[in-house]
Amino acid sequence: MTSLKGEELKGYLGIDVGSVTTKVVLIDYDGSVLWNSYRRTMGQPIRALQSAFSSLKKDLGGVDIRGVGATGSGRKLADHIAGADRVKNEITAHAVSAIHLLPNVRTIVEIGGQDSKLILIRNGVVTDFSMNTVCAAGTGSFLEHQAARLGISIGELGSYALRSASPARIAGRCTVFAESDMIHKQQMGHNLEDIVAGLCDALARNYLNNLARGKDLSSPIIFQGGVAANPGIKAAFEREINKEFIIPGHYPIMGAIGAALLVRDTKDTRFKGLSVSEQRLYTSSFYCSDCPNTCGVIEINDSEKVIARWGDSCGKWANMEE
Amino acid sequence: MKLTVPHMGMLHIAYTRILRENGVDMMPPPKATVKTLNLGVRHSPEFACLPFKINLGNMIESLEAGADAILMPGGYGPCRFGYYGIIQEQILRELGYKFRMSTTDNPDKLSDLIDTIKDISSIKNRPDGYRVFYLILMRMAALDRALAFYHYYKPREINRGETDRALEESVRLIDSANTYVKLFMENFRVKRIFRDIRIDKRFKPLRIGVLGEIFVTIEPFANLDVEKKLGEMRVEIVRGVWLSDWLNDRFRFKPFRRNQAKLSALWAKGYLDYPSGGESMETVGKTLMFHRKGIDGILHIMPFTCMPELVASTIIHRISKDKNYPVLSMTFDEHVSEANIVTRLEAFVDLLERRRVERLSRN
Repeated sequence: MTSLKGEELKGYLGIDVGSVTTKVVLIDYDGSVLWNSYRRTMGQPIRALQSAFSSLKKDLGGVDIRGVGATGSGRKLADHIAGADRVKNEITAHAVSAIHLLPNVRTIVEIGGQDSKLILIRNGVVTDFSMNTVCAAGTGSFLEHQAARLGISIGELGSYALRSASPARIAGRCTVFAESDMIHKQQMGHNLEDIVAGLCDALARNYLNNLARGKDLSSPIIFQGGVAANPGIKAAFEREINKEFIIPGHYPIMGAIGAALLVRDTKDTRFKGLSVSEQRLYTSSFYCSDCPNTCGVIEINDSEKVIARWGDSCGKWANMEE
Repeated sequence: MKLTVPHMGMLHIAYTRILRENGVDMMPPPKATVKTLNLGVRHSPEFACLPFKINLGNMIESLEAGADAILMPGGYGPCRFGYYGIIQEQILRELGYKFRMSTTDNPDKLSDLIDTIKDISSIKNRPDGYRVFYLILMRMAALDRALAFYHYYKPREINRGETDRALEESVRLIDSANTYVKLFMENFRVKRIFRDIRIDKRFKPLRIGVLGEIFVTIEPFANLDVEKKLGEMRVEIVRGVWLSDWLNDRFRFKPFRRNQAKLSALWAKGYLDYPSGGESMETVGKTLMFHRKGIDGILHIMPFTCMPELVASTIIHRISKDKNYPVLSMTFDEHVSEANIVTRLEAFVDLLERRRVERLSRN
């Protein structure tokens, strides 16, 4: 990253508030990344977003932000806090950035903290997609949990897997069974490398069985999302379907890049400014007791004022004017 | 005797007033809420489908509120649904409730239904039974027509929420029409209410065909109100399954409306040649029909563990491949997450939008 302190920098901001990590990128009009931040949400998306903004200000000084795009499961929250010009779902955002990077891409495999997606693209247009619906087996959280259980850091998982000569076969249908199967394999005397490699195989198989069933995974295939950091998973996928998986340089922030690419034609941005990081924002929630649905209503407050409310199914709190 | 019937879309609006006026002490179940679902789930077999669980929840809440008789359609059903009344009765008896339960043995047989009406109401001759029954059917058809207007106007409205209010008003008008003549007049007023909505005439919304298992498709509580969500994304819904069509296939009260099951079977030829229960024939046939009519894509809705729709789902994904036609299948049960549904709906709408732009730029 080149430091351009002092000069007025122009750019477009992409925010991806995911379940496990929060990503913020600044790109220029051509889509090259000027600055990025990747940090854990730690269950506090507002705090994560604010600290990303303050480090952006610290790193680059004054920036002229021409547009803001928000994506990820917390996209609505990001919109309320920062003021986004476009709020897009993760599937579209990931597709946009992958197509921008590699115009002839045909398949995108994206595995994040708590969900995984498969996106098929033909001639630069999304033609089909699938997303895990009921099960988190085969996502980053699962890997992280297992790494912690084995006493190795998530970053080392890949190198362990690559050292294995004969991966243990681990039942990957369900995280709970995978875990008990792993314990069983440990007790049988398999070494750590083989078990970790087996875990990667199980994850790849689980993904292919759940999301890719009956779908044509043709090359070029781009592999992105946080789990792409693990070379063991890439190797497992390549073994399983015999095709090369391309990992882009910015694999963990591709969703945020996609969101930023989508706002490049913005005229007047709704962005509230980086000073948002200094606001005293906090959320509170209550259960509405007006009907048996008892929706949990969430409020974002700036000091004493309520900025936004959501979570109610009837819309009476969300639409209330303060 | 306080009689209750589990909810199914707007059906309760069609019958409640009419039956009450004919001496039946009708008590429709309270509006379904999370509490209803939780009650149903707690006492249902895990792999029963969502309609079973919501029905059971409706029954428990009605009994708690003072109902002492339940009418549940049954007989040799279109799918497992045929057994539901019997199993639900057993579950409720084991829970210790005291009530009378009647299941219609053959829901397709008109005389059977008329006998049921004669049984429970003050109507004592058959002609009156027919007159009341057909009025209920016509009211159902009027409600469905109002909903079809809603689907058309919602994506085009200029003032947000105007169409929702129009629908509410229409339902109220139709509910007040307790004779054939009044219903005939109210139908015109409903049409006028919708025509008065200010719409963007140049805007051409995407059109998505909505197909699938009938209960989950027509019951907003069961499908997390996907139709409203799509309407707010400015998508026009072209619904392929209607309760009034289903009734019309059996009781022929709309003389100019074709039998939709037979029509679907004609379209489905080559992909599904034998009925496989539920709405599978409609789903397959109408997917092909909507494709020919230039509807942009199909949203296929089904409850988890629904066998007929699972068969249909496999076939329509094959059609999707053969004809390069976008299809999104969504499965609903008590575990479904709203965030997931919204993300997939939005991505599907984006996909269709991009395809349309491509198609227009090519021509």
